[in-house]
Amino acid sequence: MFDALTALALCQYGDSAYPAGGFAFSWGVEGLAADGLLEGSADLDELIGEHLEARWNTMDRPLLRRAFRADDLEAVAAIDRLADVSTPSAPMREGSRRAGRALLGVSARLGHSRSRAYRAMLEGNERLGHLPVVQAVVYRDGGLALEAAELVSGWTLVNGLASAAVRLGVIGHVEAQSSLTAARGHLARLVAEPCPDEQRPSSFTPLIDIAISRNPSRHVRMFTT
Amino acid sequence: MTIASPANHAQLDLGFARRGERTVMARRLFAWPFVLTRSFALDTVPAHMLTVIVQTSSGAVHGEDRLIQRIRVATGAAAHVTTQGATAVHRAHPGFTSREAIKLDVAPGGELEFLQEPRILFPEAALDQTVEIEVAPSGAAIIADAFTVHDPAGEHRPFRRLTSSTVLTRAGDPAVIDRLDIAALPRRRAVRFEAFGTVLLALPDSFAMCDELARTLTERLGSLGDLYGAASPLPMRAGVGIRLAAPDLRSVRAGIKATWTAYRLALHGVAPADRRSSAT
Repeated sequence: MFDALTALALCQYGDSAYPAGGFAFSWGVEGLAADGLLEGSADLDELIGEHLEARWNTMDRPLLRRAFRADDLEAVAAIDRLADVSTPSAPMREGSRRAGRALLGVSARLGHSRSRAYRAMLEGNERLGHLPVVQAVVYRDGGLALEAAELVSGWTLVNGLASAAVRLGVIGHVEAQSSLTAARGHLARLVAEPCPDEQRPSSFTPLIDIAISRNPSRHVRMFTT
Repeated sequence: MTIASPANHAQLDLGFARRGERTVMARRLFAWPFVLTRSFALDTVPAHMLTVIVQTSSGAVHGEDRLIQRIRVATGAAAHVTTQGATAVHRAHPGFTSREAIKLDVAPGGELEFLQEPRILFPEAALDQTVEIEVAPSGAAIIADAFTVHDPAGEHRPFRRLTSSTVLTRAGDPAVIDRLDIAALPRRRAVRFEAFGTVLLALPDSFAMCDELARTLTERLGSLGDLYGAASPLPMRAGVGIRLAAPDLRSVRAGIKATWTAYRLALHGVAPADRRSSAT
């Protein structure tokens, strides 16, 4: 499917050590664990499945595809605004923008032209910079094809969830590898299914939304989301 | 209600207008399956709030239904619209989907409380719902939407599909687009969540305490038994959004009522008058 250079690029972008601040986001793992709704590897596997099926595949993926194919950065910004109004939870919006801007910053500092231009557009506009839209800009800048960009987008999410669960002590390092292996199959099945261009972004992750939206009321937390 | 082709007119078309110190129904059109009886003035604050209970003769949504509702609140008027009880969404034949379109308009200084009772999705139910809400910058609205699932045979047979699109527009721009398209509920081993709700509070642009309202409301929702819920400021300072999840509808209803009370306290400083035990 991918040649060796692309496979290596996927490893690089999908590596949890990629300096885009992914370690700061748990995307609900921390909140659900604190609320007693996440207590081990089986729960984590459910959560990863819910994230992939009910948000990434139906919201992030269509946004990424549209932004990747956008003719110019004005069109990218319009998709970014759609991402913003399609995320009712303020902590999720803020997390998505922080993660997106961090990723964009790395790509811009590496000298990638589209990333630099889009980063300049974001100055003074607090609503823009959502992660799936920025992923489209950055991965296109990095020479990835759309299918590869989708894959690394889904995988960085999965990797982030498992990594957060380990750091919170919900699961151990070995259990995390089992979860990642299971998620690999899940993600591969999803990307093998078509994502029609006309698909309107949607999501239904109420428990994740609630867990993250409760964050401002928590006294102690490690993660932004 | 059974119609062979999609309807292009609203079966429920209501208009509320301000007349002196009162709100009156300036437009009051309804057709099968909707039924309207008298309206009520139940609140001392705001004293001009008019309450209407929309009933349905069919008592349920059926597979071939094409329902359209339109409600307009004119400048300075205030309306509370609710329904008589939870509505069952029955099985749709293969290839059919029940459709409901709701259009809500609130003019400057107007207030709308649109608190429908929840939907109950039966096995093989297929529902496509759209809610378009336009609220002027100085207007206000609370819109609740909730659903659960039920299999009369107790076999946990699933609904077929639920699609929902809610768009809140302020000053001509979409401020919130909340879409879902599901064929199953989220799974959790520890707790079986089977009832879900979303409430949107569109607040006047002069209201500067969205963060505080969201924080207070989240704390309140956290104290309501087995309800899992949170409130959060909406995009573009449009108001506050609330998500609710619980094992049953009773807890989601309690969350909606708590949200409605917090909304009234924030806007008017007074809790709403009791309607009836199941109205919220």
